[in-house]
Amino acid sequence: MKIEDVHPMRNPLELAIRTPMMNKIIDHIEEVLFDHDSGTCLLGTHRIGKTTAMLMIVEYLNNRENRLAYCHYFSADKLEKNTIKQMYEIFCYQENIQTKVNAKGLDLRELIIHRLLDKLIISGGSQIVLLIDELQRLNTQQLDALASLHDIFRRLKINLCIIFVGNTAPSLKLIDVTEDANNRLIYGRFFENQKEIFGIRSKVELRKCLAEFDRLRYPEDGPTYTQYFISKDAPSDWKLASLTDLMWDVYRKDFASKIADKHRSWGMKYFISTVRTLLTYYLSSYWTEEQDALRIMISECMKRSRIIPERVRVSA
Amino acid sequence: MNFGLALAKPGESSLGLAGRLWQANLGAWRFDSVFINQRIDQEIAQNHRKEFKGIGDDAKGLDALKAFERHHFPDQPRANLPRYLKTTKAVRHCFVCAQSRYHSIYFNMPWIEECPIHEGPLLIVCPTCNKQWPSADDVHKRVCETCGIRRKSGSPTRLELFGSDEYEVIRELDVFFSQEINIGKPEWIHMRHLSTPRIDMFAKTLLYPSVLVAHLSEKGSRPRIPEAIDPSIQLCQHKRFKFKPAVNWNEYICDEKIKKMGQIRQKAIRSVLKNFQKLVDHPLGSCERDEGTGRFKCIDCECHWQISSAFYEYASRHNPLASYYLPGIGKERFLDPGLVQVIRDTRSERFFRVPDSIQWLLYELDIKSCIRRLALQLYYSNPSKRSSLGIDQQIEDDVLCASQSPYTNYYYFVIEGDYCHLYYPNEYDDIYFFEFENWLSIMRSF
Repeated sequence: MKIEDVHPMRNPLELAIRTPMMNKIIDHIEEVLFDHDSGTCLLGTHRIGKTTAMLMIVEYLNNRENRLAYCHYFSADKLEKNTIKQMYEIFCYQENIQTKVNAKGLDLRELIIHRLLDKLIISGGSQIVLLIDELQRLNTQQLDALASLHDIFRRLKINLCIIFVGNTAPSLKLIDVTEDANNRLIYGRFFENQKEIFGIRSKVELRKCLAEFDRLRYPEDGPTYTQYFISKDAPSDWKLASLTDLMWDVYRKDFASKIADKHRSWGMKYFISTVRTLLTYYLSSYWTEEQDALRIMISECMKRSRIIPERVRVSA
Repeated sequence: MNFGLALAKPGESSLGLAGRLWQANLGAWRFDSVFINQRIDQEIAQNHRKEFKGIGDDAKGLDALKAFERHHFPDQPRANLPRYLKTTKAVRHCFVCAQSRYHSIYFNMPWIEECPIHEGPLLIVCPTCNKQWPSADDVHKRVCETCGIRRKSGSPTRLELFGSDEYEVIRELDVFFSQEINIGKPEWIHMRHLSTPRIDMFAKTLLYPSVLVAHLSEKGSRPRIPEAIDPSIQLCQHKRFKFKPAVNWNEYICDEKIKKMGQIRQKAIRSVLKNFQKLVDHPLGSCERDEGTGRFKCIDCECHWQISSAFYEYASRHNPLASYYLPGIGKERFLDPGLVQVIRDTRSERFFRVPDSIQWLLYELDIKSCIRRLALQLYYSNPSKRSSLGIDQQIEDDVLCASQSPYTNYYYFVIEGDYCHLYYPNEYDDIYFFEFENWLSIMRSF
């Protein structure tokens, strides 16, 4: 059975926009690749769109013309035994490699090496970028195994650049462990160079994000996302980006103060939810250009995106 | 399925490709009885349908993978060897290459005597387990440190060979066979008046170095690549004809042509008998006969008598070319070789019409090949003559037996622009019977 093609705005899992943060991450990866570094670490709080950004970056890096490297995405997972072999098995599972029941860790590693080499050779690149998402799910032994993998590729004169992406707080705990003298090797390879990922932090960034909805089209030769949903009463050249000032103002005044201690930026999950509701419901059904009305609409959308957590507390 | 592209080497044979795939999928593929082609087809259908879409749609198994690699790496030279140069009964292998699971298509060519990479001998059996080398289908069933995929000592990775320059010598062969030489494929007339059996014999490859040397010498340069070829190798006879398109080439062999074929048979048989007489110090046919068998006691007289009585001088649809019986060998019946009327240029798919003079020349070469075979059988079956000629080696049973085609097709067509070159060995013209080694090499299908 197949889920029918629907507009990406109706399916948030399909909706991905190129954010200014993403450009910064790409620049950072390019610098790392230029120096043939062994790895780097990208950390960010929850719900800021790390995974979506990484998937987009992988697609972008693999499809660009002057390809620097083959980029491979792997999402770390934790099952009943958090062993090295299990990490390899999960990798094989994600890659659709059916492993033998009695396959040893060495055999699995060989499968992974060959898979990465195959992809690299077909892509024509000279380096491999292994983007490992959910760093916090790994342990030091597994990190050590990844360091060995890097060494194997080094012997083949190929740089395997491992980029870890993780949730800041739990990942930092793991990184702290690697700072220990026994695990210093891991720290030196992958965690000396850390970079923080954010959501939207400024009006400029917000404008760029909103402009994406005025740029992206569905289908490819169809109307822009904004044009697709906006009411017929709206001017034909109306842009969603024109709401930047108002939206930023609402966010700063009504919401930022309530979430500042946790997120320090507007998480992409909440931003996307806000824009989806605004476009597909309010601006589609209740078109207006009145600032007050728009302000109420935006505020309502933000609230509906659950940017402010709601907790149940037991009364004393 | 991993493709093991990191282990890919130039000139890889099907066995080499299978070995490479097994190496890259050891942790995934079970050592069961599924054939490699079936295994690959299953993998493609289950996991790689998108990647293989539109690439060699008709190709299956190993061929599909070869098409996949051709698609992704179009600049890599790939040998365009005629089928008869690739097929063989016995697989030859280099000991060192076998350990790293590499096998080249060139190893099976008998004129390559040693591994171009490691300069070791090319062996017919594995020196470790003393069995014949495995095929692509059963390579995974072997438990042998040298020729098997399953090894008691584990499966060391071959990745250390990644990016190695060792195999560049094989790439040069690939370049040569894919770009520098274009072999034309002869088409015989099959049918109607004359039955014309033809098989592509691997023995043909024995002549191959001579063709290369002769062809490239004409162009003013000795061949750069086949360094394994003896530089003193004898050049072939050479004829050249210009391209004329062959229209309706599958022609009927008319009565006039049949008559001419008879004349050529006569000419060839008489020329052989005449040369034969020169080698013998007494009049042929004058010696005593054995009372029991009725055969000549003298091998030369017997040979002379057999040749003159076994061959039919007149071509017709009812008569074979030759028919005779030899004790120890059996009954032999050679059908007419037919005429080579057309040469197909497999690259441009053009059909060259072969001029009549060349057709007759080739017909004569084939007739002489049959006569020589008979003489060889007679001499070889006579131990005294064999030892006097210094033939002490044992010939493989099937070299002289009736199952082998007498037409060795020991000639080659190389196409160059609008010209087609015909090469054939000098041995065809020198019909002396004492050069047994030459004969044997022609008869032997390796």
